[in-house]
Amino acid sequence: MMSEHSPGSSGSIGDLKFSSPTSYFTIVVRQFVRDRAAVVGLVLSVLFVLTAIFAPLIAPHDPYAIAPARSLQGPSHEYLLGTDELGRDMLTRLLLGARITLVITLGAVMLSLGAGASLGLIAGFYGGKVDTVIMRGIDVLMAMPGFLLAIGIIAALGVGTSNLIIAVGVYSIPAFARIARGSTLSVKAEEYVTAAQSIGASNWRIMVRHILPNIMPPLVVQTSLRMATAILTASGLSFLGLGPQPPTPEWGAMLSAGRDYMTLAPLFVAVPGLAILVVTLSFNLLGDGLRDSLDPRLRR
Amino acid sequence: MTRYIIRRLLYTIPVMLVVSLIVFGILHIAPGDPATMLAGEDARPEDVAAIREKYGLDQPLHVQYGVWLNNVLHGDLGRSIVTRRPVLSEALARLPSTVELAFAALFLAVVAGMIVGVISATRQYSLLDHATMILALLGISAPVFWLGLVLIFFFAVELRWFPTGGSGTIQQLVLPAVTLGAASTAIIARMTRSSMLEVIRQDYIRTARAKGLWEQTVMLRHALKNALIPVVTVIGLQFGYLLAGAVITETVFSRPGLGRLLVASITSRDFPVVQGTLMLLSVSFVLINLLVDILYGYLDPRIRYE
Repeated sequence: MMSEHSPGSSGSIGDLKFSSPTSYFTIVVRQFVRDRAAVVGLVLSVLFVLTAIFAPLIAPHDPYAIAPARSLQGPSHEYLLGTDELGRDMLTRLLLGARITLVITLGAVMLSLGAGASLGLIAGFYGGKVDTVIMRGIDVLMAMPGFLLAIGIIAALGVGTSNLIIAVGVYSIPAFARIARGSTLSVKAEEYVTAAQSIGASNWRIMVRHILPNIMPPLVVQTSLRMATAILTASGLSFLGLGPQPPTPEWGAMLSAGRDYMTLAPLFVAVPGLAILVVTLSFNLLGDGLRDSLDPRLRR
Repeated sequence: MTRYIIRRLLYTIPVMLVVSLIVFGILHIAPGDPATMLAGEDARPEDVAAIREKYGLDQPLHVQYGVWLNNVLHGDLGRSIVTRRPVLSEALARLPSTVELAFAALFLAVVAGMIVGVISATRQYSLLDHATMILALLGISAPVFWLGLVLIFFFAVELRWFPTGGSGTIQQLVLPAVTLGAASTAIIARMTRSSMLEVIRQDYIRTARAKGLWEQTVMLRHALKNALIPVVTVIGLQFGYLLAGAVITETVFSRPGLGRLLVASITSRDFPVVQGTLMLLSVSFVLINLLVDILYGYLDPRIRYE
C-alpha cells in the first residue's frame, strides 16, 4: 500500500495543484515516532533481542564456571555486577539469561500466535458450526485462570524448558484466537473479499492472501503485549522451580536462587528482577505505541 | 433479576465440568501409569492394585472420569502420596489463608486503583496524571516475586516494620497483599481513568454541571457510578489473576496457603494434591466470577435483559 510518490511530494495538472496521498505505512511510522514512550520501548526491545543473540560473544566469563572462593562478591572491575552464591559472574549469567528468556518467550508467543490466529481466522471465516466448535474449545482454555492452566500443564508434562514454552504458549492462545476471529468477521464483510470470492478464489487463498494481511495489525499489537505477559509468566514459573533447571541461567530461577542471599548480596536479587521489569516494560510500551499508531481511531 | 441469576447459575455447570475435565486430564496426559502415580512411586504393588480398582483405572477413560467425578462430588479428592492424609482436608485447611490474601489484595487494588484513576482523570495531562500513569505501567510490568522480595528487603529486613513471612496476623498480611495487589491496582487505575474520561464528556455530566451542582457531586454521583460498569468486569477478571498470583506470593512470603501446597505437590509429583488444589482454586475462580456477573447485572440493568 505504499504510494508511488514520496510522502508530501506534489505535482500539477494544468492549473490544478495536488499533493500525493500519504501511504498508510508512512502515517503509522510518523505517528509511532511522535510517541516518545513507544520509541523508548522499541529501542529497549531491540537492545534486548540483540543482547540475547550476541550474548555468547559479549559475555566476559564462563556462565557455569564455579569458584566458591569468590562467591557473593560485590561489583568489581572484573565482575561488574558481582558474583552469585557459587562464584559465577552475574553479568555473564544475566546476558545469557536474556538469550534463554528470549527463546522461551518468543517460542511461547509464536506457538500461541500460530495456533490462536489460525483457529480464530478459520472460526471467523467459516462461521456456523466450525465457529461454535472452535470457540467453545477456546472457552475451555479460559475456564481456569491462565497461570493455573500453565501450572496444570507443567504438572502433567513435567518441569523443563520445552514444557515451559508449551505451558506459556497455551496460556495465550485464547487472546490471539479471539482477536483474529473478531477481526476476520469485520474484514470478511469487505468488498475485496466478495470480489475475490466472485472470481472463484479458493477459501484457502482468500484467508491467506486477502484476510490474513488485513487482520495483522491487531495481531502485531497483541504479539508485543503478549511478549510482556509471557516474560512475566515464564519467569514466575521458573521462580517456582517449574522452568529450566540449574545451572541454566534463567532470570526467574536466578532470582529464586538469590532470595536466600538477599541481605548479603542485594544485587543478586535486584539485577535479574530489574532485567525482567525493563524488558516487560519495553514490550508493554512498544505494544501500546503500536496500538495507538495502527488504530486510526486512537490517533492523536 | 431472579431469572438472570438462575440463568447465570446454570451456565456455571458446564464451566465446572470443563474445569473438572482439565484437572482429570492432567493425570492422564502425564507420562506413566496413573495408578502408580496416584499411589506413589515407591508404593507396594497391592496398594497400586487397590488404587487401580478404587478409581476404575483399568476401565475405559470415560468410565474413569465418571468414577473420579463422582468421588470429587462426594468430597473425595484422594489421599496425598506424601502425607497419606485426605487431599480435601489438607486443601481446605489452607484455603482460608489463600482467600484472605486474595481478598486483601483485591480490596487494596479496588480502593487504591479507583482513587488513583479518578484523580488522574479529573486532572488529565497534569504532572500528577503522568506520574501516576507511569507508576501504573511499572506496576503492570514488575514481576510479582521480585516486588515481594524488594518489599521484604526494605520493610521487613531494613526497617523491621513488618515480619518477613507467615500468616495469621494483620501485620503478616500487609506486605503479601501489597505485592499481590500491585499489578491489579495499576490495571484498575488505568481502567477507571479511561472509563471516567469517557463518561465526563457525556451530555448528562454537562447538564449536571449546568444545574450548578458541586463538582464533587458531579464526579462521584454522576460520573463515577456510570464509569464503574466496565471497572467491575475488570475487578472480576482480576480475582482470577489474584488467586493464581497467590501461588507465587505465598512462596515468596512462606504463607501456608493453597498455592504453596500446589507448587510443593508438583515438585514431589503428589498428583492427588495437584488435582485437588487446582480443582479448589479453579472452582473458587468460577464462583467469584458468578458473583461478579450477578453484581454486574445489578449495576447495569441492560445486562439482565439481554
